[in-house]
Amino acid sequence: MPRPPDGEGHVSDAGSPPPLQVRHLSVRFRSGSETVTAVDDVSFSVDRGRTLGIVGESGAGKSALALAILGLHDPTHTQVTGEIRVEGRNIVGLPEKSIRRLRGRQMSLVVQNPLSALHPAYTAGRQIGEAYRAHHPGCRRSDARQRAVEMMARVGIPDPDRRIDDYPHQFSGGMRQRIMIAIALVNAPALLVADEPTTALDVTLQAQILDLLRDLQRQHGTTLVLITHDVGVVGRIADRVMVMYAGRVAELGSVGQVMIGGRHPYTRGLLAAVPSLTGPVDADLPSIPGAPPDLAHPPSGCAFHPRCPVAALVGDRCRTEVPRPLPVGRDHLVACHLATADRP
Amino acid sequence: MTEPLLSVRDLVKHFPVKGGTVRAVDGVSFEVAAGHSVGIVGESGCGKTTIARMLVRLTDASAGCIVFEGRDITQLGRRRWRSVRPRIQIVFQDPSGSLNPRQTVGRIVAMPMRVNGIRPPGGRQARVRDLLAMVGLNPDHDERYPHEFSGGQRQRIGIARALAGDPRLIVADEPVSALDVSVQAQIINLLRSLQRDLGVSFVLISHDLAVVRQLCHRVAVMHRGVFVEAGDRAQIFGDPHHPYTRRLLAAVPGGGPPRTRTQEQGS
Repeated sequence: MPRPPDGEGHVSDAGSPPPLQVRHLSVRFRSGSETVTAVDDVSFSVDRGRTLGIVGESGAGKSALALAILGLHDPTHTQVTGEIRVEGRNIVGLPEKSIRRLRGRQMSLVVQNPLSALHPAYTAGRQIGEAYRAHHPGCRRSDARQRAVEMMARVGIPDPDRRIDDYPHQFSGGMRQRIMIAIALVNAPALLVADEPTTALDVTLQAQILDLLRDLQRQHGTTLVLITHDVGVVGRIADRVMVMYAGRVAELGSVGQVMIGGRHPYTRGLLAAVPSLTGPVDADLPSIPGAPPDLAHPPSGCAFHPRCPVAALVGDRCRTEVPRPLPVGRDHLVACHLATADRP
Repeated sequence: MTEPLLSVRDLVKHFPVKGGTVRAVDGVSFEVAAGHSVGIVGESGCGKTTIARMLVRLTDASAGCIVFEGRDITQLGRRRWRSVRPRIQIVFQDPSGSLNPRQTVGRIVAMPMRVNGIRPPGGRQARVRDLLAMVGLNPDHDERYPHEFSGGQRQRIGIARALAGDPRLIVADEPVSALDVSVQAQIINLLRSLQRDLGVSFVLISHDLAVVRQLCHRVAVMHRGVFVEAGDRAQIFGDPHHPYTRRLLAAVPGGGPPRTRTQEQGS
């Protein structure tokens, strides 16, 4: 089987492996008689202390990828193949007991809706403290509590000494997301995966939470994988961007390479379709015809070909052959037959 | 000056709650000219959806008036209101939740005609087919059910239904915020073309400043039940006066050109 170059697989600082390295990852769900491939042969890595933004629309495979990185897929319904190396160690196929030792300590997750992720009957302090105690078995309750107060202060919750005994419903939406972040970071994990962390929040709060994530990341050198449908969010805090479509990588590169010099027709279409505060208002928005595909019945060849403005230029190949992500520049990969046709 | 299609004066909605009153809408006034669109933008809880609901009388106003085509609709009796109702339609955010899953698309779209006893020349079925084509759907799909359509297509169905009463005003409450970005642009363009071709007016309720900017001639910024600033599109986006408007604009990610870290860090 032809292996695409690992592209990003360069070794970061002083020979230590990157905190996250994903190779040929696929996630398949069995649903009835059908198999849905939510993530299809995805490879990437993230350097220490950096932020990778993963952008895509519904069905792009973003959340299935996030759950896989945390080892949260239920093996009875889901098949995960390939490699996910967190701090060099492959977690695919590890028993739940071993993954649980890593989860929270090596890698953590922040999800979109803090209200459903937080336990309504436990105080904020207890939930943060419990996350700490889970990885510090000998730790005294009073120490965990002290640690929770520190974390609440660090994520910008005012008056943490008093608020530590409040319940989730006593906090606003933005404050609840801060509690989630405090729980995720209490054990100083190397890797934080944030899946639409600001989508449920108002725009002014959104900016605050993104700034908070960026500040915490800089302080602790945390590696951040930020999953979002919002290209504006990615432009604001990511170093590199991975655009996904129908479970596959469409394009991967630096923010500048992808968001300004994007080569994949889907990347370009997606960016152009976003209404901006500065673009023209007298003309229609450039739009992509059709809708993202149903993953139970994905299009043949390049999954984007039925909606692609340039597929006709290439001919049958787009319809018959899945394009692999290939380099078009330094650390810049594009999965498009046209964009990679004339590469050296 | 010709009379505006819609004129809202000192509109108020207070909800009684335990131990007090929530002043959801606390005295707002605005006008919508025929063929124009007005955007009401604000964060959750600011009262914008309550305004939308009052405009179509899904919620009764506590005070103030809503003058549509010269008549205060808050004062209309049931019968009179029914004669006005087809000309003020609403499109909701969630295209799935607002379509009856047990009805065919043809039946859903024909609903305003049935309810209001509208008999278009050529018959309702032919009109349904025209409407489906107008919103970019296949007219032959009128026998299908909502679940057979994608999210964007369902929103098109909701828009076709709104058009079935030959409205002069469409109130659209977050019409694109549940849609994928690539589909969002299609629906924004559709709304623009409908305005151009049919001369229908819009009141667009949205939290998304960029969407409002794309669709609306005039914009009102709402905060805690009142308009803190209202003006032409160019003024609100180019020269905002109120600090809250400025804060909202500054918070939009990607409000300017994307910042590249490469430049910043020289890597």
